[in-house]
Amino acid sequence: MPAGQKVALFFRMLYLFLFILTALWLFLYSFLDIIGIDPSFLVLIGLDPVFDPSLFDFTQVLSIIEYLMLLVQGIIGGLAALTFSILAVLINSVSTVPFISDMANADYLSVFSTIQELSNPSNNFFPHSTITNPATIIEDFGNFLGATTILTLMPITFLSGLGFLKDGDTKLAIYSFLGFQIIIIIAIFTEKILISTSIDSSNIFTMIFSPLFFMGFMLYLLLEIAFQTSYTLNILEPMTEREKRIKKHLKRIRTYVPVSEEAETKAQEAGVKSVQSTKFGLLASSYLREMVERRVFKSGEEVIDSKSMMRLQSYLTNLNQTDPLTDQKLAAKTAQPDTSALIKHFIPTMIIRVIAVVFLSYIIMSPQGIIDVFFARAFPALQQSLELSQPEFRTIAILNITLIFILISVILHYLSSGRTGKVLLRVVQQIDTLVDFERSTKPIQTPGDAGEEEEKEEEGAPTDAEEDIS
Amino acid sequence: MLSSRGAFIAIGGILLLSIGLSAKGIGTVTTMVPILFGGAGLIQQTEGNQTAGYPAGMEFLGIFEILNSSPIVDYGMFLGTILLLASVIGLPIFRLSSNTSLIKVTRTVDREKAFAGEYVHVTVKVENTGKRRMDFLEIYDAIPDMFEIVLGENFIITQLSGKEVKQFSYIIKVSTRGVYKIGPVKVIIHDRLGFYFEEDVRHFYTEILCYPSYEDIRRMEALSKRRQQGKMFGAHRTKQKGMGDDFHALAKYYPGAPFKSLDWKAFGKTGELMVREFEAEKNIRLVVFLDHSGSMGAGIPYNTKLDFAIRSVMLVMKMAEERQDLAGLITFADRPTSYLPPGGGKSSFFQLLEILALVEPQGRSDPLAAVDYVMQRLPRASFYIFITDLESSDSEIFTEAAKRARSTKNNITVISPFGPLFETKITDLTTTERAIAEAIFEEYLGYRKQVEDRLRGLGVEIINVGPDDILPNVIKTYMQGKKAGKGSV
Repeated sequence: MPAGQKVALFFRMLYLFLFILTALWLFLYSFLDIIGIDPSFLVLIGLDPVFDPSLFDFTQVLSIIEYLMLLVQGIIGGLAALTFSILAVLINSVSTVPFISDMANADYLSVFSTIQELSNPSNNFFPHSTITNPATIIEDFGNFLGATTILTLMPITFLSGLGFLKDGDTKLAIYSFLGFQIIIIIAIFTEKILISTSIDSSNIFTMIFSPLFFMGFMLYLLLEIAFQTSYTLNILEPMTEREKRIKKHLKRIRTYVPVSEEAETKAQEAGVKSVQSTKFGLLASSYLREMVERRVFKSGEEVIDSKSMMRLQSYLTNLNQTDPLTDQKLAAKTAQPDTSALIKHFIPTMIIRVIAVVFLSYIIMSPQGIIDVFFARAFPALQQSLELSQPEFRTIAILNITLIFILISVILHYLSSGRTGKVLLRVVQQIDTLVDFERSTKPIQTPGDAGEEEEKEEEGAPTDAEEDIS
Repeated sequence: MLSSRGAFIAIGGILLLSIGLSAKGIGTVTTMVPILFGGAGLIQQTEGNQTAGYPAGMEFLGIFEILNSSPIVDYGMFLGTILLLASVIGLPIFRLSSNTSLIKVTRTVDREKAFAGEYVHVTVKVENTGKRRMDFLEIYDAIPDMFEIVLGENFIITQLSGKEVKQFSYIIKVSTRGVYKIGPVKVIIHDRLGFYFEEDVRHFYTEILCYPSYEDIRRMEALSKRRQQGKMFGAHRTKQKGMGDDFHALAKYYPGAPFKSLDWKAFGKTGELMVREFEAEKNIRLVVFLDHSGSMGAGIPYNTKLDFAIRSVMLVMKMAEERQDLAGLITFADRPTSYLPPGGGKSSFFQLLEILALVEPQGRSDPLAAVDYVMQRLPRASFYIFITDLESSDSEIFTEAAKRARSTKNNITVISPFGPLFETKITDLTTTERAIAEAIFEEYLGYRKQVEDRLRGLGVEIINVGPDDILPNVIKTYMQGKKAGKGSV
C-alpha cells in the first residue's frame, strides 16, 4: 500500500474510533439497560419505545391538534367580533350619508366592550377553555416530539458520520455534528439528559470536565478531526489516484499494438470460405478492431482511435528521449505531498488550535478572572458588575475577540503584501527629489537625451511576461 | 477570505449563540408573563391541572419554564463560542503565511506551433519563494476549449515547503487551426482545515499557433508510397512533345536528333530510322484566391466552408510544390488580407501554413480588390483558382473581377462551396424541413445561375461543390489546368 493511502487510512481510523466512542456514549443507554449495566455515565436517558411506550403515543398528536384548533377558533372569533365593532363605529361616523345612516346603530363603546369581553376567558371566544388540562397536553406533546426527533436524527447522524468516512465529504461530518447538537439540545429541553447538567466554571479544567461541556467539547474535537482527515484525504487521495491512473494509461499507450489491416485480411482469407460467413467475417473483424481500440482507454476516458494512439505513442517516446522525467511530471509524482510531514504537523497543529480555542472560550464564559487580573484597577465598577456572568456580556466579548482576530489578520495581510514597502519607497523618492539639490536643479532634457534614457530604461526593464510571472 | 466551510462553522457558532440567547430570553419572558398579566382585567384560571399564573391561551408558555434554569443557555453559548472562535482563530496565521504573491508559476511548452491533431506537452513549474510552508495549494492552468487533454491533468493539489519547487505536466491535443492561448493560471491557497482561502489569477499566457491539419497531405503521401506510382494523381501530362518520361509517339529521324532516342525495334520492322518522342512536362504559375468572408464561416463547427477550403488549399499547394509549379495564395475578405507570391520551397509552404492558421471568417467579399492586388504584383498570365461561395458580395463585383483578370489572359476557375450542403444533410431532415430546405436550395440556385451565366460568358469555369467533393474537385481543377498548360511559365 502506498504511503499516501496508509496515512489516509490512519486518519480515517482515528475519526472512526472517536466517532463510535461518542455515538455509543450518547446512544447506548437502552442497550446497557437491557444487559443490566449501570448506564448512568451516558448522556441520553432511554428512548426505547419498549421501555417507555407513552413517549410514542400518537394520540397526543390528536390532542394537541384539537387544542390548537380551538385556540385558533377562539382567536378568529375574537378578531371577528372586534372587526365588527370597528366597522359599526366607522358606519356610524358616516351616518350623514342617506341609507347608510339607517344601518349604523352601534357606538364607540361597543369596541371597548368587545375588547373587555375578549379578555375574559369564560366567554364564548375561548372554546379551548373547555379542555381541562392544556399544560399536560402540551408537555406530553413536547416529550413525544422530542423523542421522535431524537430517534429520527440518530440514524441520520450515524450514517452521515459513516458516509464521511467513506467519501471524505466534509459536509457529511458537519451534518453528523449538527445532528448530535440537535439531539443534545432536544434532550436537555425535554429533560431526557442523564448526565449532570451543572456547570462549574470556577476554573478552566472544572469547566471543561463538567459532563455537559465535555460532551460538547468532544463533539467539537470530532469535528476538528474530521476537518483534518478531510484535508489529508483531499490532498493525498486525488494525487495518489492520479499517479496510479496516469501510470496505467502510460503503460497502455506504450504497450499498444494496432490490429493491422494486412493481418485482418489474411485472417479473413484463412477463414471460412462461404459467401455469407466471409461477409460477416469482414464485419466482425472490423467490429472487433474497433472494440480493441476502444479498450485502450476504458470508461471515463476519451476513446482514442488507433491512428491517434500510434501518434501519441511515438510522441511520448520522443518526449522521453528529450526529457527522461516526462512520466513523473505527467503523473505529478514530484508534486505529491510529503506524507510524513502530514502526520508530523497534524498533532501539534490540532493541539495548539484546540487549546487556544478552549482557553479563549473559557475567558469568554468566565471573564471574572481576567477582569480581576487586568482591569481591576482601571475599571473597578466592571469588576463588581453582575453583568459579567450574563449572556449579553459574553456576546459582546465574543464579538470583540472575533473582530480583533479579523483586524490582526487584515493588518498582517497588508504588511505581508509588500504594499507598505512600496508606499515607503514612494515617500522616500518624493523626499529625495525635494532634498536632492543636484537633481532638482538639473537642466531640462532635450528630446534626444530623453529618448536615450528611455531606451536605457527599456533595456533594463523586465518584459510584460516576466512581470506577470513574478 | 472565509471559505464556505469556514462560513458554515461561523454561522453554526452564531446559530448556537442565538439558541443560547433566545433560550435565555424566552426563559425571562415566561417569568415575566404571569407578573405582567397577573393584574386587574385578567382572570387567572386556577382550577384543575392548569398552570397557575398563565392566562388562558398562554398555557403553552409553561413548557418553556425549564429554560429559566436550563443548561441550554450555557451549552449553546459555550459551543457557539467555540465554533465562532474556531472559525477565526487561524486567520492571522493564515494571512501571515499564505501570500499568493510568494508563489511563482512558470509554464513551458515543447512546441509553440503544431498541426491540428498533433500533441503539445505543457509543463507547469510551481515554486514557493517564501520561507513558510503552504499546507494546501491548488494550481489550475486554464486551457482553451479547443484543446483536449489526452494525458495528465492541468491542475495539482499539493503542499509546498519554503523554497520548494514542484512540477506537473499534461499533454494536449490541438484540434483545430488558429492561435490559442494557454492560461491564465489560478493559484488558490487554503488553510489545513479549509476555513480560509486566498486566490489569485496570474494572467500570463503561452501562445500556440495551430496549423490546419496535415492529415490530408499525409494521407496523400501514404497513398502514393503504397501504390508505388509516383504521385497520387499520375503524370500530369500535356499533349506537347518534349523531354518528359512518358512516351508520346514515334517520328521519323531528323538530323540532330539524339542518338539515344533511336528506336531500333521500329527500324527493324520498317527499315527506316525512327526516333521516340516523349511528352513534355511544363510548370505552371498558379494563384489560389481564398475567400474568407463571413459567409464562408457557415456550416457545422470545425467543418465549415472555410475549413474545407483551407484543406483544399493546403493540398493543392503541397501538390504544386512537389511538382515544382509556382503556386501562390491570396486570402481576401473585404480587402486582401495576406499574400504569398508564387514561388516554391519549404519555407514558402510554412508561410502558407501560418497564413492559413490565422484566417478567420469576417466581413464581406471583394474579389475585385484581390485581383487588382495580385495583378499589380504579378503581371504575367497565370492560372487563378478562386475558392469562394459567391455569397458575400454582389455579382457585379465578381463579373468585374473576372473581366479584369481575363484582360491579361489569366485563366480562371471558380470552386464554389454550395452553402446549404455544408449546413445540413438533406437526408437527415423531416418531410417539412426538407420542403423548406429545397425551397432555399432553389433560391440559392437561382442566384447562382445568374452569377454563373455572367461569369461563363467571360470564359470562367465554375464548379459547385459540397463537403464530399470539394477536395477532389480542387485537385482535379489543378491537374486539368496543369495538363492544359494554363498559366504556363
